[in-house]
Amino acid sequence: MAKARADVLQGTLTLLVLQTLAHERLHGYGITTHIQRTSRDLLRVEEGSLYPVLHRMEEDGLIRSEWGTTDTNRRARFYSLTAVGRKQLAAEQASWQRLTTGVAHVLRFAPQGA
Amino acid sequence: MSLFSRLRDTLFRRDRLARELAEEMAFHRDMRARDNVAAGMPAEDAAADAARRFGHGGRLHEAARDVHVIAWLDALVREAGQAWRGLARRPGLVITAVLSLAIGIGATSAIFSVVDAVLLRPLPLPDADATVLLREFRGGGAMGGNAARFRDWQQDLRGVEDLSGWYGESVTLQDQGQPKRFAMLRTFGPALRLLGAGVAAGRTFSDEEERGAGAPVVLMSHGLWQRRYGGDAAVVGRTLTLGGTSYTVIGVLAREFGYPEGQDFVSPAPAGFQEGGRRGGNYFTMAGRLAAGTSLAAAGQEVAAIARRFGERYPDTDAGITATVTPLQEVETAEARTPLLALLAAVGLVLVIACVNIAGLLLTRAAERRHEAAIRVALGAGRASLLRLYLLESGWLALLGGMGGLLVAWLGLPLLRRLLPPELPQLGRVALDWRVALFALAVSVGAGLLVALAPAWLAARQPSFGALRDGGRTVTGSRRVGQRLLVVVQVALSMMLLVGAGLFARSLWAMRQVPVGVQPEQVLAVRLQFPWDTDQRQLHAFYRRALAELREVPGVQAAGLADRLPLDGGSQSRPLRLENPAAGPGAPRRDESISLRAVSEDYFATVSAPLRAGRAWRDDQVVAGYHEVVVNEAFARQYLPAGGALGARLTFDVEPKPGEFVQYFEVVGVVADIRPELSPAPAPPEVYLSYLHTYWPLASFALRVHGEPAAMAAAVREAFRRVDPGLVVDRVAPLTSELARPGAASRVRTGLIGAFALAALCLAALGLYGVLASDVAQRRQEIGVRLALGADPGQVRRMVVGRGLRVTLAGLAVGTLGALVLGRVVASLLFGVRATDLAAFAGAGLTLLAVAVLASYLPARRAAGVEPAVVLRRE
Repeated sequence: MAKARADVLQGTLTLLVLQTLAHERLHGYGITTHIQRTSRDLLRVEEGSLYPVLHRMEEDGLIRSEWGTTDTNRRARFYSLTAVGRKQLAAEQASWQRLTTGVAHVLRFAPQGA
Repeated sequence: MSLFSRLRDTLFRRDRLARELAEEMAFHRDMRARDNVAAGMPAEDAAADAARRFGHGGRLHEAARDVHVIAWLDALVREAGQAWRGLARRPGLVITAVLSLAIGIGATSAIFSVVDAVLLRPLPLPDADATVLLREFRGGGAMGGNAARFRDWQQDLRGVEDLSGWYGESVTLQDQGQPKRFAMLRTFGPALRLLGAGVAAGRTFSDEEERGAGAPVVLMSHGLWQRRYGGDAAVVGRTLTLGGTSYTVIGVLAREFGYPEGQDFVSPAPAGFQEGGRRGGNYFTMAGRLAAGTSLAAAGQEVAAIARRFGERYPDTDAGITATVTPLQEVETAEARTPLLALLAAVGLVLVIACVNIAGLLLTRAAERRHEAAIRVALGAGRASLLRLYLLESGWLALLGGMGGLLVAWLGLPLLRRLLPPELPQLGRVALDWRVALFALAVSVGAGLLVALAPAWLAARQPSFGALRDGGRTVTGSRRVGQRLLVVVQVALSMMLLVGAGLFARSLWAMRQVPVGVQPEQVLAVRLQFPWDTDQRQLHAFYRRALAELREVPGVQAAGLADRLPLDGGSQSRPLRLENPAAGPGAPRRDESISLRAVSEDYFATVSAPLRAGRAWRDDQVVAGYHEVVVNEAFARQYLPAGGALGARLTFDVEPKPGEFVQYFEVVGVVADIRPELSPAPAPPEVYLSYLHTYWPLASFALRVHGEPAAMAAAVREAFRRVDPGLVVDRVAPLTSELARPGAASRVRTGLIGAFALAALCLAALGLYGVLASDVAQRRQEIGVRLALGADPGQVRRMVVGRGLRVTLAGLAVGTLGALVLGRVVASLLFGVRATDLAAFAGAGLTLLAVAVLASYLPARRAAGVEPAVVLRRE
């Protein structure tokens, strides 16, 4: 039986990309594999749809891109976080925390006297 | 970042954006495939898996791209690119269309720049809209201002402020070397304030100087200051001797001073002129500014009422004088308006014809592409996108044509400026400025829409599937109708232009037929001006000495003097009274001014105007007290007894007081009519009297010479210098060229409109040819069948030519109506020709018919040469 894998929620992809780029400069493929690896294969990005999101984030000033070469000496576009992106990451982390805490509270709720 | 960067990405980084995105995505898929292989997947599956995991590449590419571009602009750029590539496949069409548009738009813009500078833009005055001329009239004729009346006007008139006056005079400046002639504006009242004349250096007139009091002062024009004094501020305070009087230069006019034009100096009218006790002598222009809250109509009523009051107060001099106020701009541009608008209309017609031609070309092309278009529509392209394509195509043509047009205007403007009559007001302002560029842009957009109209109309009626079924061969009726309509329009517009050109050419011919009444071939003309305050005795002495000196010049046969040359226009005129009016057919009315000509005794002989009866007076007898005149034939015929003109007596004392001495002049000769102005009307009655009886400080000398008149110019100038070394001789020219001057504007106009008409004719011929040729090409099969069935080639030829002629005749009918309307508009420009002149209409119609036959003949020959076997086999 295949492992159950979740498609990444639309809004959360931005958070994941910001978090991923917080530590290092990566190209699009690198971001995909990083998210898969660090989520222990629980999260899966529809790989192509990453690009419209990346370009939108760049247009919004959260990340910046530049062309460089990979270890294997191929030309690739690398993305890195901007100062604005760093702030945005903190804000999104906080709001994610609130969301998950809230959801957890709801899930843990058991009506008294049931 | 955002909007600007998106605009930049949409317009200028399209290719780079697409390339980088594609590369980025390809890299991703390659990496995934490589990792797949590394994980043990077979190579072919690895690539397929990478592609599957990546998702829909094209859609994602678009999605990522949309982040960077402005969607509608992006689509527009893409479609414009398509349109351009489509056009680029037909370079012949593009070159023809762009060239004809460029020439049309360029010529229209150039003429517009003149219309704009001369007619549309306000005069360079502080308040041009409110600046009005105060004009006085007597017996229907406008008269100049008079200092005594001017002071009364200033006192009484409330609705017009800053009432001022001015007249121009010519002054001789004698400082270093050759004396030179300059134009000086003489002012009354606050003219500088009214005209907005500030100073670049120095100061303007004080109140006292404005009245002409104190030592004479003068302002110098900015242009003269730069030209002659290199912009040296030290010129302020210097003394200049102008026309024998010393003036202190108190300042330099600002560069902006531009009305009245062509002034070198401005100085208040001399005190003697400004005091002006006499109410006769009318010579200057009066103008002012409408007071705040006063309408033109109200000012007009006030002025009329005051004029009536003056008439009551001074019945001897002012009775019968009426007055009006008219916007200065209107008066200044009145003469130029109709000719310029006629030119603009003519060149506009050529542009429209060119557009119609291009529309026809595009229509033919659209019809050729009908199959392609039908496929597009069938594939869901939609009529709207087809329409957009046609609009974008003509948009390209209009854009290129417009840019070419600006270039043409820029190149043509200097030429046009040289051609135009220099008396056009504000001609110096004619330039290719932003207003003209804006006009060219608007015209280009209009031309683009006009050009797109025909194919767009066809697209709107495009049958979706029929074209696919019949292999795109049949021609829809709507297209044929459309093409023919276009040709009808072209022929009609060409007809209008040709009739116009014909009318002007006939006018020019009529002008040449005007019997001037002199033989100018061996005559040299010399023009002189003296200041208006020259002493009369000095003036007459100079004239006599000059005449005597000129007669001594070797090669001079005879020398005469006249106040004005033939065709110069204008005259000194006064009412006169016959001693015995009952003896003749009638007498001049009391309020009718009869034209007077002041000439010397030899003038008639010099210009070879034959005396029909009697003799001329003798100037030395005039000095001795004789009062004799010569009348022209028109005067004798109209007022004097037939055969009994000699001996009649007339006087300029129209209403003598009882017992007062009345000075009569005896008619001693009748001279053949000499035309005073270029007019198709017969010569008016005129009275010639000795220059010694009048005061007129402008003189034209006429010299009958042996040999080439122009060759005598130097010797003649030398003779004048011997009489007065300080004199400036304004112009020495053969009388033939002087007589050609009044017709110059008409010649330029006729030439330009003739050129436009020729262009229209060529374009219409091309249009007709194009339509018939494509018609024949489309109907080869039908013609082949006809020929195969036994029709003879002559019949086929006649069929095609007949088709061309039918279209042409329809155009001629419409054009004739249009020309009748247009003719009425330009009627005032015609000379001795009616706007419905049969010859002009018939000539234009026949020319167009002949051209139509020519244009039809080539396609007709091709049709007759169709090989039935070849055509039918192709089926």
